[in-house]
Amino acid sequence: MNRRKYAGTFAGSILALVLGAGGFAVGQGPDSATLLKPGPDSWPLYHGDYTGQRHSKLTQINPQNVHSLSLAWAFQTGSQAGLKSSPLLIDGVLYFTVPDNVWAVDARSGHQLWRYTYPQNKGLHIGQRGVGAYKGWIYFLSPDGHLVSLDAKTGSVRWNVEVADVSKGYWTTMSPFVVGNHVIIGVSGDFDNLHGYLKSFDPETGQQQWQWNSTPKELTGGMTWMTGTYDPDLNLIYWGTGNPTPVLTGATRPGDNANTCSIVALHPEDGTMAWAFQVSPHDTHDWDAAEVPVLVDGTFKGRPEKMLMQASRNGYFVVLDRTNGKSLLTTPYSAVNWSLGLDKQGRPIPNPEKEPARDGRLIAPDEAGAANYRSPSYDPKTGLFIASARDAYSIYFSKPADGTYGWSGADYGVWSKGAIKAIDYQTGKIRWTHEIGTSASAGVLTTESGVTFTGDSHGNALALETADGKTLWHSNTGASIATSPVSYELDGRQYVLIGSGGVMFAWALPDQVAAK
Amino acid sequence: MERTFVLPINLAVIRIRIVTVPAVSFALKRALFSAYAGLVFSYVTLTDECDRVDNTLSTIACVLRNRKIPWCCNPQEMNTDKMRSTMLLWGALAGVLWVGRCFSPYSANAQAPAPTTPEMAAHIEAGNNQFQQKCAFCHGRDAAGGETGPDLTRSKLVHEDVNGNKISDVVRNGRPGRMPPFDLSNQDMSDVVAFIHAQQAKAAKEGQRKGVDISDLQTGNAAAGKRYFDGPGTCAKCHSATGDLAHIATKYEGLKLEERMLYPSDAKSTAIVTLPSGKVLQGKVEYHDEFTLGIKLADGTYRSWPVTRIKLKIDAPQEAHAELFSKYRDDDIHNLMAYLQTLR
Repeated sequence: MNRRKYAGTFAGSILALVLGAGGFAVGQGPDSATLLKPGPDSWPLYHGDYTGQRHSKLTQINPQNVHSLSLAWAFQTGSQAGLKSSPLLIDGVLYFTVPDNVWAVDARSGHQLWRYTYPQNKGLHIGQRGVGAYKGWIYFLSPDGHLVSLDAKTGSVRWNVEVADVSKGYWTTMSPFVVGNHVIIGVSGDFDNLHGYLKSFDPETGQQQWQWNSTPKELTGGMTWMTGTYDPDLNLIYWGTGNPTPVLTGATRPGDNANTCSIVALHPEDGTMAWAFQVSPHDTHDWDAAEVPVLVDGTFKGRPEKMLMQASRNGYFVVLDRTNGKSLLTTPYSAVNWSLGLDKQGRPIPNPEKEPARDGRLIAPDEAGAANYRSPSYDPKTGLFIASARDAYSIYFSKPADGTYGWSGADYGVWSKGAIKAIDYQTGKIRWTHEIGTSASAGVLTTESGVTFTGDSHGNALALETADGKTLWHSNTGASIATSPVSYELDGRQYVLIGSGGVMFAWALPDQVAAK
Repeated sequence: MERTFVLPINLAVIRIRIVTVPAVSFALKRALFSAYAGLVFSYVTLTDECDRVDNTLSTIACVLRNRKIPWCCNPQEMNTDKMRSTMLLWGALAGVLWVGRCFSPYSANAQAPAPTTPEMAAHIEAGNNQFQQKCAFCHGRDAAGGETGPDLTRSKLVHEDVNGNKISDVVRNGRPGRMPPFDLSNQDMSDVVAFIHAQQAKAAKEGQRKGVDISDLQTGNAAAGKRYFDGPGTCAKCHSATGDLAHIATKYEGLKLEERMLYPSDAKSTAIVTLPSGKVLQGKVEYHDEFTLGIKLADGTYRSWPVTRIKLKIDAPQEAHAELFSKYRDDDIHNLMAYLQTLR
């Protein structure tokens, strides 16, 4: 460590001590201003910041030295359920989850500060994607649809409110989204004909502020199970919605089924909708458009644009003008065989012949989709949108005897292949492809230095060269990686975190390499 | 290993039936018969994966005549004494299984009783609780199939399960690449098993199963399928109706046949590896990622290397199936199915 850095750290420590003694700042968590401009020593939101780019400005780890990356620490949750959460980092403390569990862990050492366990419950324990944080409080969603506010210092419960009715078939998994004075949550539930919605709560009291329903009374579906993004200038939040129900038959729901499988823009103050763009009109394949709506300011065909990009589960990459939801580009980035082209609004036109049928239809992608909850990343330097993608085929069946409630059919995966794909957002062309095995499960993080962190389907954590996708480093974690990497810098040391199985791995450069 | 013991069970079944059936009540006879049928059926099912055995009866006849067992997929011979003791052991086990089957509240056949006692209802409800937490996402809240997981109410394995003897293996070990393992306590496992059986019984009663029946897959034209097979489908490049696919329709049927036709997910690639020493090894690919290759040699030895240390040639003929996906019309698939189903 050089002298200036040392002095800086020393001064910081003194400041922290003084402020800590005075009861300020340390452990106070992010306020609205901090969430708008997170520092390099924090990761206070699910995506790292409001844009959803999952791009780190850090440069200590770079393409030249990343091969020296070594283990800083590993944290064993002891959990059978694998980690699917993206950790938050606040004031040197990491917060991550599996269903029913929250851990607070020292980000420098990997030591546990506290663990919160939610009581046994009947909710679906399919995954937990992480917590939200605001002013010293943590927000956690339980499998049975409760929003719990915890003290960030101790893990003790401040309040617990029901946000979804588990007895009807809802469950909750997402990382609550804090915008201004709002804690915004979404819900899951595909096995029953239920209405998707977003609800906003007062961060202090847990009082509900507003509710937005994705579908009108006569239509069900449109679950809201992934954390959205936010543009403070336009003051709009962006959210992806899930499929309509019944899932595999459209018999009872003719037409587009507006606002399902869509990207929607809402006003955070009252939940009213500004616009919606439907990525899969009249979906009959379970292709939620819940994937991260990534916000990018840049040029599109020579014009400056405020854009929104999504690599969607249905196999299409879409670029929208996020001021009004108009399409700039819609193009497949993975194998797709279900559409008849695009309509005037730039939406794929579903081929009626490819709706699930009694004798089966071969469909690409499969139900798990070309993309899913794992995060993509946008790299501003190269203009590449990098997604962990699947080419996949399956057969879809549905017949009247399957009814019109819940799944209403069956589908069987036949074959799949995973690849990290770097998409040129202006054309949709794939600049490079890095194969990762028979599927894809890990998300992507890019860094300012030109390194892309992700994982393959064999449990290898990977560092790739962002410019061309070549492998720079790998380490086998011994389990499936179903998380998206994050990165932060503390005491002059850059860490990269990747959860795999029930273990959170933290990697960093050895001191002598980092000092160079 | 499981397969090796299936045949003796069947033989023992025949002997014990002859000796014991006259002495038992009509109800027990019915149970014994259905259990016997179940065992023969499971034998056929298991040997489906074996090319060496054509059908159960001719094999049994052959065994009785020669007093030798053509061991499935592993043609070793056993001496007569050893065979007899094996048969007795497994016969006794099979007998115990039948009795267990008769008294089991979750009789594996479709007439599993509804929860008649409050204890049973609580047992099933506890299983429901576990199931909703851990299984429902993939297998559906009603166990009739959900995202990615099969419909358990039509599952052969569930049908054949007695008190969790098959289900618990799958739950505890998972299915590589398809299902993660779950470490349930004995009580939780027993609850989940009770719930799955109750759901199967319910589905059978209501007759409203999701999923695919053989009759659903009969919309194709066999002649058109044959033309596609020999022509644009390029199937005939690797397969032959009188060779590897002869009698294929007696080995697989319905959805299973269609899935295998589209892509044989259990097919393994072959690797030829040249070591730095110049030595050449050949084996089935067990593991292959960007950095490591693992193969199993003919004698069962597993070997692995960093891919940078070896020269490697991989033969994966099954990947030709994947190249067809973007070319198929759905009719081609239905016609091919119709054609394959004529290969009896």
